Amino acid sequence: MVVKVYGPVTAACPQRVLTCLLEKDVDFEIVHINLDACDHKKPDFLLRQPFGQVPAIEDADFKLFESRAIIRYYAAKYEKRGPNLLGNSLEERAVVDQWLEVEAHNFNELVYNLVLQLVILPRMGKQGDSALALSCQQKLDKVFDVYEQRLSGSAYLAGDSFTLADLSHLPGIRYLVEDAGMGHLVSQRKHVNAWWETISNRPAWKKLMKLAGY
Amino acid sequence: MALKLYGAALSPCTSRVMTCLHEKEADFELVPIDLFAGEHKQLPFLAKNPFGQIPVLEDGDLSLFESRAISAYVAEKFKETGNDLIRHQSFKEAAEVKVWMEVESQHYHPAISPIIFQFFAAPLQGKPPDQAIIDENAAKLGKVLDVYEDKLGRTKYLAGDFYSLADLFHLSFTYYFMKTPCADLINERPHVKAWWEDISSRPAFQKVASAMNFGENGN
Repeated sequence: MVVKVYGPVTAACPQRVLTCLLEKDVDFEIVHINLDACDHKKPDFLLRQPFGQVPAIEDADFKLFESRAIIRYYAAKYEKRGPNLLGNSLEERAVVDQWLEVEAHNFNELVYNLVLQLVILPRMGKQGDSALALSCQQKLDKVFDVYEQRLSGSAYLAGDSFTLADLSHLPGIRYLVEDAGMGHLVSQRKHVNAWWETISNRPAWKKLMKLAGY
Repeated sequence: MALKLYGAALSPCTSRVMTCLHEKEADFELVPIDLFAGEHKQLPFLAKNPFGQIPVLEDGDLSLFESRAISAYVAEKFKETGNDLIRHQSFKEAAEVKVWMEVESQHYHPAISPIIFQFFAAPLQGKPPDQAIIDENAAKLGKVLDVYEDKLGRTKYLAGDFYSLADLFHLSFTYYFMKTPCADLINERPHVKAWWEDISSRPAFQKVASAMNFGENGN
């Protein structure tokens, strides 16, 4: 039975989950949720995800929400299949977790707000807050400085292999580079740029890009 | 070799990790970092966490930052001792714990943290609490707590009928929150209030709470 992933294929958080499923070769079916029509705020969706956000998954009778919890679950469930996205020891797993937390707490909100002001609001015909966008960009610059330093010492964020910590960044960085005109944040940093080139050329991510129609 | 935790006893993120260490009955040494002197933003601490934030855990050669990652590591390393915080024997229960850990991280924390900041940290910068920020985040937190009220009407704790890391993650920030005028948001929701009273009375947290005196007596 396939895993049902509820959410649009073009939204960042569903993409995080779909990339993980593709890396692990897990069959899935995307159940499209129309965010413009506010399907995610309607009663039957709220039963799946009480905060009214995408994605949610349904795997036979097991249901989960929160993209980072979902990827942790599937990376553990299929630990022996495909690339090891979690690390080989307790200590390696802790370092993967550490950089996943960095993505969640030091990176995500800045990217989210930047993309909201520069891309999403204008698409909806509304004025973005350029002062907020600038502030986010300046903070993101400092975060990328830390990443540059980290990646000068290891090929990937948590060490020498691609893990969930790197995977979790893919959708957000794609938005920055392709939609928000912020590619220079990546391309002007030698190690961040090399890392982005590597992780965004992985077959699983490229398959997702095709599915999303980019 | 004992674990070393670099941080401050009155800091909620340091307290998050200390609560977990106590639940797991793990020995550790707290190495104080002087926040008021900006020690966390300078070397040598910056070498331990380039983001300049406490806490950091050192366990032999392993050095970790991010309080939630540290707590998850401790809960896993010491899974056979103390209280089971991660349901390691049930794959599905473990996944439910992870969902509600993410909920704390993505929904609860972003709403409660600015309120704590306005009441406790802004005054130190010579500013009065910004009521607009407080009101905006109180409204967001109220909606999150509505979801919690519903869930806690069906299960005793967030991830199920068992206490877990998901509940623990809420303790330290909520402790400070209950000292603010916004505490009603918790007290007005009977299931949330009962849950809060239960989890905050656990001995492991009581040990940590006694040192969480930010803003009192000149701290």
